[in-house]
Amino acid sequence: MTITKAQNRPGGTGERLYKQLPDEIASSPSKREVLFNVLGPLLVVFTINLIVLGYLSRYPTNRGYWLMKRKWEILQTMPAPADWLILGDSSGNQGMIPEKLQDELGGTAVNLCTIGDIALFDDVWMLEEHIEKFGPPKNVIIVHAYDVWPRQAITVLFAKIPRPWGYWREFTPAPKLSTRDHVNIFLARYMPLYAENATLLKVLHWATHSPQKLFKDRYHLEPGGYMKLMRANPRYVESDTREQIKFVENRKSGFSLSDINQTSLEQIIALSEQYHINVFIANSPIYEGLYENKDFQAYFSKVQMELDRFAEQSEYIHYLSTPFTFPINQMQNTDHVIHSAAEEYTEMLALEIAQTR
Amino acid sequence: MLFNSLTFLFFFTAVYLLYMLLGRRYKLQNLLLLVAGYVFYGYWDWRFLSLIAISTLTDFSIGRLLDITSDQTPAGKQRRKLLLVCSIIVNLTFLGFFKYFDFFVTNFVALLSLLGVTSDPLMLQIVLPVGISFYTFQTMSYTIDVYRKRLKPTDSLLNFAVFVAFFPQLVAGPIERAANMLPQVENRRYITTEQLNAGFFLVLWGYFKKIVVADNVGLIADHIFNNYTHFAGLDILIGVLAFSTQVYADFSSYSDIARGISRLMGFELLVNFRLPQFSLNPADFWNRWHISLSHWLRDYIFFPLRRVLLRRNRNATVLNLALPPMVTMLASGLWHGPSWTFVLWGAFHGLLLIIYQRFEKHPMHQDPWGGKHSPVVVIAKMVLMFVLAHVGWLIFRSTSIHQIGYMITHVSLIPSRYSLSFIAMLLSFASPLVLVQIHQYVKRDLLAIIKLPILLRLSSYSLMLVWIFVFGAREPLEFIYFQF
Repeated sequence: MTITKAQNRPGGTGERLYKQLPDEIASSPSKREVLFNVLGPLLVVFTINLIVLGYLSRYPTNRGYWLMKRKWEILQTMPAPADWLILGDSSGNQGMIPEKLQDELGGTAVNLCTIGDIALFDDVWMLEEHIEKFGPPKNVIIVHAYDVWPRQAITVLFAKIPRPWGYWREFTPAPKLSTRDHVNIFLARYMPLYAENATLLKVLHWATHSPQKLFKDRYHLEPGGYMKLMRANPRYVESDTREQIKFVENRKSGFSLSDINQTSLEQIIALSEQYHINVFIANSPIYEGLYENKDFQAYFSKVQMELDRFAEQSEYIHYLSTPFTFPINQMQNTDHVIHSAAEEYTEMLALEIAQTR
Repeated sequence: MLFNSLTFLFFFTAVYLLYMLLGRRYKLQNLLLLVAGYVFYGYWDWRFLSLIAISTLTDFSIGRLLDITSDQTPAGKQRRKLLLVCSIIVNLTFLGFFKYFDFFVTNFVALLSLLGVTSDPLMLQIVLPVGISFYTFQTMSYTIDVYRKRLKPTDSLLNFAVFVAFFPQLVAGPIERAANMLPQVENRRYITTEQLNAGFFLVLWGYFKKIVVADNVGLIADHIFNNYTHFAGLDILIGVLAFSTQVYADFSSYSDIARGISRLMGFELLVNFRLPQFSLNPADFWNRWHISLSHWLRDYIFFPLRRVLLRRNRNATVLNLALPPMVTMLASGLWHGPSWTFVLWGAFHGLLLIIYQRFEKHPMHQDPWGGKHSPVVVIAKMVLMFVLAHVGWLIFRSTSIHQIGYMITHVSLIPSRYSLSFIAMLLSFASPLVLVQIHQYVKRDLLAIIKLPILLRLSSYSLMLVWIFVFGAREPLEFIYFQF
C-alpha cells in the first residue's frame, strides 16, 4: 500500500515495526507530468528507431536483406523488359553473369536472384511484376541450390521487399499469413530496434572499436545485377560440406518439394503456358567434393526426378538437369562460386540452354 | 497467457479499453474483470477453470454460512468449525492432488521398499494447474478470516469471484487478502494521476526486470546449474549469484507488472518485495521477500501454532521457540513444489530463523543507519545475510541433494576460462538492477525513480524501453513462479 510523505516521517501515522523497510511513497503528479512520463520515453524510442531505420537503409549490414531490396529496386526501375530474366537464390546471384549470357545467347539479361530463405516466392512474384510492368519476358532462368526445393519460406523476409504494406495479397500464390506473421513482418519492416538487435550490437561494437566501418558501403552489384566475388574460402567449403552431408543424410527416406515451392512452380507453369514464356530451371553450382558423396548423389537424383516431372507438364518448362561441379578453390561454400567459376558456369549453362532450344 | 507475450498485449489493451469505456459503472467493470480473468486463465487450459469455479463457489458459500451461523451456542461453534474444516479440506485436496500426489506416492513407495516391501507406484503424471498454490491460499485466507470474524463476508458472488480470479495476480500473486482486495472490488475505483504514474513505472520496470535481466542472467544460471560438474569453483559462485538475480528479477517483475496494471485500473495490490538483498537478518529477509506468502504463512501457521504451544507452556522452551518457525518454513518450502530440495530450502531458512531468535539480542528493526549502530556492523550483517540467502538459493535451484553437496563443497575462487565472460554478462545485465535498487534503498522509496529530475527520469525510462527492445528475449519465457 502506498503511504504519503507525511506518514513516512518519524512520528507520522505510517509507523511500522520494521522502519527500515522501503515503501512506495506517494507523489501527486500533474496530468501533464504523467503524460510526459508515458509519451516522452515512447517518443525517444520512436526517434531512435527512426534513426536506426535510416542508418540501416543507407548502410545495410545484412547482405540477404540488402540483396532482396536491391534486386526489387532493379526490377522496378528497369527501363525496358529483359529478354533473359534470371531468378533464383544467392547461388545464382553470384553464379550468373548477365553480360556473359547476353554474349552467348543474345538479347538483354538481368540477374534478379535474391536468397533461398524466401523459397520460390520471389521468383514467381518477380515474374508477375515483370509481366505487369512490361509484359512477359521471352525467357526465364531459375537457379536454385539443391537444398532450397524442400524449404519453407521465412515469412519475415516479406518485410524486405520494397512494396507497399500488404503487397503479398496481390500476387499468386499469396501466402497464408497468421496474425503473428503479420506482427513479425511489421516489426522486421518498421522496428529494427527490435528485429535487428544483433545487427545493432554489431554496429555499437563498430562505433566503439572501429568507427571507420560505420559509414561504409558494404555491398556492391555489377550493373546487370550480378554480384562479383573474388575470394574463395576452402576452409568454409569443407565445413559446409560436412553440414550438407548431414542435411542429405537426414533426407534419406525421401525428398519432396515444400508445399509453397510446389504451388509456386505450378504458378510458373501456368504463366509460361499463358504467355508462352520459356522457363529454364537450372541447378546451382556444386562443390565437386560434395557431389562425389553417394548420399548426396542419391538425394540429388531425387531432386532431378521431381523437377523432371514438373518440366514434363509443359512444353515451355525445361529442366537442365546437368550438375555443374567446381573445385574447392573456386568456391565460397558448397554452392556459391567466385567470379572465375561464375564465368564458366554461365557459359556452360548458356550452352545447355542453346542445345535445349 | 504470459505477461511478456504479444497475446497478452492485445488482451490487456482490449480489456483496458472496455474497462475505461464502462467508466463509472463499476459493477459492469467487475463483470468484465471476471470474464477477463476466466479467459486469461482458460487460455492455458480451459479444463482447470472448473477448479477455480469450484473453489470460488465453495468458499463463497462457506463464507455466507459462517456469517449466518451463530457462535453463541456450542452447537453453533461446532458447526462453524466444521464449515471451516470443509473449506480447508476442499482447497487442500485440490492442491494436494494436483501438486503433491505423485511426490507422496513416489516417496511412500521408496519408504516401503526400504522396509522390504516392493510395489508398483500409481503415478498419474498429473498436469499442474498454473497458479493453483496462489489462488488456493487466497481463497483459504478468506474463509479463515471470516471464521475468525476478522472479515465480513461478501454477499455478492460476482465480487467474490472477481477477488479470486483477478487476472493481474491470478497465477503468480501477490497472494491478496480479502480485507485489502474485496473493498476495492465492492466500490467504485477512482484512477488518480498518482496511480497512472506509478502504474506505468511498475509495468515498465517489471518488463525490464523480466525481459532484460531475468531472461538473460537465467542463461548463465541454467548453463552452470545444468552442467555443474564441468565448471570451476568461481563459476559455481557466479551461477548462484546469477540464479539469485534471476529468481528475484523474474518473480518481482511479475508482481510489479501485476501491481502496475492493477493500478492503471484503480486497484492497489499488496507490495510483494522490499529490496530483499538489503536484509539484515532472517526475520528481515521474510519481511522483504515474497511478502504476501510469508505474511500468509505467518498469520495462518506461525502465529496460531505459537499460540497453541504457549497455551500449553508459557515458558520459552525449545519446542516453543523452534517448532513454529521450522513448521512455517517447511510449509513454505513445500509450497514451492513437491521436491526434497524445496523442503531442504525451507528447513534451512527455518533453522536460520531459530538461530536468529536464539542469539540476536538487539534486532535492528528501527533504523540501522540512525546512528545507534556502527555502519561496519550494519554492513557486516547485510553481507552475512546475503551470503546465507545465497546458500538458500543454491539449495533451491539444485535438482538433487547430491548436486547441493557437490556445489557447496566445490565453491571457490578458482576461475575457469569461462569465468570472465560469465562475469561480464552477469554484470552487464544485473548492474541496472543493482543501481536502481541502491537508489531505492538510499531513498527508502520503491518509487524513487519516478521522482528523479525530469531529464534523468526521461533517460532512465527511455533506456529501459530501448534495452527491452534490443536485449529482450525473442521468445517469451515463462515466469519461474508459474511452476509453483
